[in-house]
Amino acid sequence: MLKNILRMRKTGANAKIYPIMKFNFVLLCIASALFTCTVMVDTCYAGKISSADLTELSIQDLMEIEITTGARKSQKLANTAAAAFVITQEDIRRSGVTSIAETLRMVPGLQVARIDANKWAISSRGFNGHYANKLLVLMDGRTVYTPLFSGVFWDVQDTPLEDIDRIEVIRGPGAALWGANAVNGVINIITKSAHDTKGGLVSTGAGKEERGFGTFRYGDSINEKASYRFFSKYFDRDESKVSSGRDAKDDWDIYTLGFRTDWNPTATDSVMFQGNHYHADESQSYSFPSLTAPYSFPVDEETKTDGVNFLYRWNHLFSGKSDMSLQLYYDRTRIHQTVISETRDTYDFDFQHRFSPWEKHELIWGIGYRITSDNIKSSYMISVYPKSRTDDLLSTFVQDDITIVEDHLRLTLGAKFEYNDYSGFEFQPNIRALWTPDKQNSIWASFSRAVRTPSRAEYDARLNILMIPPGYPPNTSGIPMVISNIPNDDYKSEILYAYEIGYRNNISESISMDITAFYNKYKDLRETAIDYTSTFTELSPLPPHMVLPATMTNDIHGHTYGIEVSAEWNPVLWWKIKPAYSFLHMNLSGTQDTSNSLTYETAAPRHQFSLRSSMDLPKDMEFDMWLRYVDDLPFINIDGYCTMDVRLGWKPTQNIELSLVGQNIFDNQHPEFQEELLNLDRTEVERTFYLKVTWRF
Amino acid sequence: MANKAIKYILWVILVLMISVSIAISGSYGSESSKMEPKLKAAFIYNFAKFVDWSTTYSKGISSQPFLIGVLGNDPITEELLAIEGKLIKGRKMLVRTLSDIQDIKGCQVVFISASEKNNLISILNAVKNKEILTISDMNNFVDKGGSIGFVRIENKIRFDVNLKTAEKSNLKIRSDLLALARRIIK
Repeated sequence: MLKNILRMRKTGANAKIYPIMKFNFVLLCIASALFTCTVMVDTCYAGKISSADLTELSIQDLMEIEITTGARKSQKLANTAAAAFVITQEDIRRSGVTSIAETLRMVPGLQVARIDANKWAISSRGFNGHYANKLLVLMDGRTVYTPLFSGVFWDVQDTPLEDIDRIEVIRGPGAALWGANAVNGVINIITKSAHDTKGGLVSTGAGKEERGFGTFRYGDSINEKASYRFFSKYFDRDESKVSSGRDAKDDWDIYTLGFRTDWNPTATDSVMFQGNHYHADESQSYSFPSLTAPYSFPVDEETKTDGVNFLYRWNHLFSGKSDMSLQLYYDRTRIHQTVISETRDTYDFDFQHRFSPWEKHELIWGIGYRITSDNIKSSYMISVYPKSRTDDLLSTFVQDDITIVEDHLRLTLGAKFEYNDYSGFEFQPNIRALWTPDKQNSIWASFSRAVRTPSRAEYDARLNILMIPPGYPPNTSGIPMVISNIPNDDYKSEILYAYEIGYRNNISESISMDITAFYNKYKDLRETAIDYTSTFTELSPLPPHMVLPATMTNDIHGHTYGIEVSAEWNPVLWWKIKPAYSFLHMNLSGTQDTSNSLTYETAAPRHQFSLRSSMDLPKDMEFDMWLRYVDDLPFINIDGYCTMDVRLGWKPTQNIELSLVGQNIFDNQHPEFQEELLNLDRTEVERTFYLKVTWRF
Repeated sequence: MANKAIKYILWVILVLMISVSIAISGSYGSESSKMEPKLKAAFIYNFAKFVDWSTTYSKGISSQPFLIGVLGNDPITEELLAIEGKLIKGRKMLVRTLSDIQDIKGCQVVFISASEKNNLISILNAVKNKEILTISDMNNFVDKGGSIGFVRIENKIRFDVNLKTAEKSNLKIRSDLLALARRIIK
């Protein structure tokens, strides 16, 4: 067998010389992954609950404890060699937020900004934008970023917030386990098992910006081994304002329908099947370039977005140290707007296996295969050619978690190998170490390489961004001139080398904190520098016009570094205080034009601060406050702002919960971001209040 | 062309992998997760509090240990050993791995691993008329003549009790414990 591997490795080395051998290289990687295999860390159980603790419980209590094979990853986060942060259901409920995107403001190291009522710019460790492309987002294991631009449409990532179990966030490269595009972070939204959502839930309310919202969920058990739930959710949000106070025409509404079933046919098997459907109508207004005077016209439109997806997952437990999971999903998304319409179908297959081949080693390995095909309707502003494309993505990973000193020192070696239709073969290794000198302290460090693979946009999309009328500089000709982003077939993957170090301390029962520092070195980032020397005349579409090209090239490089701190303090039993702070410094440079690197550098705030306070008051009342400060974004003229959300909750009976929430109460309105592509009208986030009633039965 | 090659490779690998993984994992037997044996060990410790052994045992010298035997390979052994030394009915709890059915002598509780499924009849014969509480997590354990059987329902642990067997073994299971059982065979 060893000979075999060696032989294959040789083939692999030749892959660079003979492109056709690339496939063999992929084969090699997978084969070696196969024979080497991987690990997921779950020493955590052992650390968290000892057998002796359990004997202190009564039988009744024991009967309430969940075995939760699925919780392995969350347990893992608390004791992992990565910058991990978990948003719990309680965090979501008490924050008063009304969308998943807004919950992410709690996480240090993430940048979250509202672009308008229905759009967000969300990123990790910089490079923020509506089309931010270095963050991988998963919902119950389903990847929700679009290969169109490698980003996420946050508006349609919705599910009843009450049914979310937790949101796991890993800043920094998670590429070894999760794959390409997990460059600066991974967000994993995990909903509750149907076993845990039995009974009915109705929540409804309205307020100043929330014109009305409602969620209905009902769940029950089919028999002792199977449960189901189904839900529907709807909301209608008011438009925001532009700085002059005029309405921004960005109101929207969305409904979501879904179900989930969980079935444990045997003690060692669990099967999950879920499906979701959504439909959103969203308004937006922007200026559309035109070749005839006045060279641009305003568009006020209602975009229609819908989607449907189904996901199946089977987990099988071989033993305490070995399990596997098999996941299949289908996802269809459609978006209709004037600038671009897209229909996309994705089929995904994922297999993972964890086992312990030798003492002190836990291996986890997996393989994934995805086919995604799209159908795009172009416009003059964004034209994509070919209009339809089908891409494959084949990936495999392997990770070994090695216990060097029992309970004290752990080393994790992992790598992901993938083959995609744009950049070909990609190799993303990482090495992590976790040192736990005692129960209170742990220190970890990691080094990883991650890539952001090219998206359809870089390869195939031409963007006619701006029309310069004749006679206006730099257009000296007598015909209109358009600034165009030109696609580039040779666009390569963007590369990151990340160095991270972290420290966690449970100072006492009531205080804990988590500090992470990172240094990221980037290579081959996207530059779209305008090339004034290669203007050309274009006859189609008429009238004849000049084109000032800006080709997308891999010409930006540089580094970023930062510090992220989060802490939790319970001064008394009924009061929790959770501060978080992030510092980010970016230093990037390109070839000729500085505006590109500046856009990146200054689209993420240098300082961010968040302070959450949750108080349990007498008479079943709750009072929560959330203070946030976000630093200036100078390049897009956003001033730093400080704002606050407050929530007052009351449970008059066991089954009814009332909450009154005020958001952004410090000012009438403030801008948070400027959309980077569509020349969207800049809108501002307004102060708002809403009242919500939740009834469980 | 490239797509076809990739797809072809994928399926070959897939079949290979799944077979390898199952082959590898098969050798581990069907134990349960880390949390599960911990929980079960705690259950066993608790059960002992609600079961009364006959007077001969309870009147014996208190230096005599409370012996829990484990038949077969099971991660529960490790978890029981972790709580060894705790007091049950004023006696020190000791855990012993039993390699032979004949070793059950002196045990108050015997946990029968699911791996012993095929030897169950001979095991139950060996404990017949002895004051031994038999516990297992194999399927339908109580129907086959065991005293307490663990069942996993959704994500939680429940248990069934065979009162008939317990009575035959001269063991008294207190009503507090019976009240929590999922199913009782009388």
